[in-house]
Amino acid sequence: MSGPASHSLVRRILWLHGIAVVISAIVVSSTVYLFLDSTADRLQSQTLRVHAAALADDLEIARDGSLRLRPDLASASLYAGESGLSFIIMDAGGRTLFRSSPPPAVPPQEIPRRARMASFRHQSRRAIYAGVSIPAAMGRYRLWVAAVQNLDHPDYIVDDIITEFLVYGVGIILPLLLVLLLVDLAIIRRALRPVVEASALVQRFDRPDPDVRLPVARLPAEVRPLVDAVNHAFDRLVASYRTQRDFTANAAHELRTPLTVLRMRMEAIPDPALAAALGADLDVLTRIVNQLLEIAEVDSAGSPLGRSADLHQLAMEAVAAIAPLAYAERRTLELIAPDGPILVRGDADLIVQALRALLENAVKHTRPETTVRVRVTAAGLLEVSDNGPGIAEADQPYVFQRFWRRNRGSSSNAGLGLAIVARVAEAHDSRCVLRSSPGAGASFSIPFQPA
Amino acid sequence: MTPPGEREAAQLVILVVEDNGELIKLLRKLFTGAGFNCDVAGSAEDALQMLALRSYAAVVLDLGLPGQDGHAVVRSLRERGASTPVLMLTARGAVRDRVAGLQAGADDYLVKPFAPEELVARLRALLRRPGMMAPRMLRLGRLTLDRDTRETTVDGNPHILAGRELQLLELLLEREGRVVAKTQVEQALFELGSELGSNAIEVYVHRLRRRLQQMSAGVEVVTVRGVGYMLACSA
Repeated sequence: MSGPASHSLVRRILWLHGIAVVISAIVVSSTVYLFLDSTADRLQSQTLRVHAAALADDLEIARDGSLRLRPDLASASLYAGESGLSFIIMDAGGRTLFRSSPPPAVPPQEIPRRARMASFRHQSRRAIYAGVSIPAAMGRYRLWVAAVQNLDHPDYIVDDIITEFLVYGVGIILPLLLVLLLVDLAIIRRALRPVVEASALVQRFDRPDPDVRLPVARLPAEVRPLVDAVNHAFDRLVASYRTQRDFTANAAHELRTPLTVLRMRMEAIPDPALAAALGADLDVLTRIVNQLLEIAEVDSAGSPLGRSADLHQLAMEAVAAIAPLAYAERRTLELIAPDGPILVRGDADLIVQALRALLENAVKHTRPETTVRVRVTAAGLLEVSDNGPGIAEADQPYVFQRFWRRNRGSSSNAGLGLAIVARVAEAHDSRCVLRSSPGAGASFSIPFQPA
Repeated sequence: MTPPGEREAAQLVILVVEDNGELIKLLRKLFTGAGFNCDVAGSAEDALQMLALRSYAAVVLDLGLPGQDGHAVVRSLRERGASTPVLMLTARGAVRDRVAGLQAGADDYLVKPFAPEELVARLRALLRRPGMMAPRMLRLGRLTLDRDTRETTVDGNPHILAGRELQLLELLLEREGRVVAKTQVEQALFELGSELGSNAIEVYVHRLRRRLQQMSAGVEVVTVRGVGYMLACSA
């Protein structure tokens, strides 16, 4: 189940979730910031308007008809420069009639003179200013009163609060969201644990086990259909495996019992020459039936990789088993192996079957007085080599096929021996490698996995 | 000369459990010819009933039966505490099937199709009392070995063989036609823990081989390199 990293559900969820966290952190903080900023702006223009309105109230027309600003103690201290507040009163022509000291840093021509209240902003090299101008009529005078606030003035704290908020707010929101991310990770892991366990269980199946099914009790409903389907597939697999096994067992019984009857009947044949000939025929038939059943058995036995076998011991047994026949046919056998057991992952029966087929093949296809050599290595390689006539390159692709024979006229074998070898190698996740050139003998080798 | 065991066989009744009619007839004929009496059961259930009624000298049991299989018969026979020897006949020859059969309690296991003489030989082996297991005379070709007198003859002419050569010859004759693993030779010829030179066995094999040649016994010791030794008639 170790696919590429992008296929991991947890990683994908976390990745998307991480993006969502970053986006929501940005959205939340900027929304709050904009909200605070606009609220601050509004409050500020309200304040400035109040100031401007108070100034307008302080205007009066003197007896000589001139305009004057009534001195007001409160406003005098207010505009003394301590608070960053300043004001200017202009007429319609833009001439300054009254102003605070120091005057607003905003050039008078930039101050709007509209029929209604207007807010404005000005940025100088040193600071940012916000202001409000309101129109006021005093007898024949048309005037504009503007109050201006230096936003960078230390006494003006609204901006600082917003900045503070940004620093602290983002500093709190981001870790909070990250903690959420970790909590999510734990939740996802927990929710997926039954799925992971089920996967591990499936991985351990090396052959259909009639009793093992994936547990559905703790599984999330979302993966339930998948697991049900897998269990259903297991059911069918086990059923077909059973059918196949039963078939193999029945076939073995049905074929070997009549062969037994036949062999026993031959005891009654009085003519020794006929009995010998029939006996030889029966041996060939028995051999073919045995090989067919062996193939069927390999096919139905499931993976043998969960078992282990001693390759050295098996090679000794197989060589010992065929030695009487080989010596009767005047071939020499030898086994080359390091001392001690060589444990490989595999099934002893199957390996012996393959080895026997290889040895029979070698004995059959070599000249008398030659040696058939079996070699096993500590790394789990099994090799059978001979110095017989070898196998033509054109024939090599076919030798492992079922029922293939170089000489179809010969009836002494069915061409199943090497097919068994290939099938056994395949069942062990391996391959039988043939090296041969005409005249130079042949070597068949199967690498097994060390246990 | 009557092989040992045959005389007792006359009084022995064996139970054949087999469902194939042809095979029943042939087995009955074979066993009667070999001097046994036999009863036949066609199923596991019949066999168990018959085994409950009387005791048999041995049971020849086909594994493949209708209904319950042969394993069930052995198992319930052993659960009853009966030690009747059981020879199982089976169509399945894989080692794990054999192991399953022996674990169920069978004493021997023969894969179909078998040679009739082998079946009789195995049955006799099961019926022999432990002390009578080993026959006194061992023969191969012109060579004989009398285990009691320790005398070796070729064509009836005595030859003297002694010590480990004789032990080795006896071991190889006992398993004539089969390969005896080198480790088995070691265990049979030398006491446990004795210091063996790396070629100690080779030395004795070489001596025996030379003696057999001098005796012109018509028998030779074949080396299967990496595995062991085998006694065979010279070509």
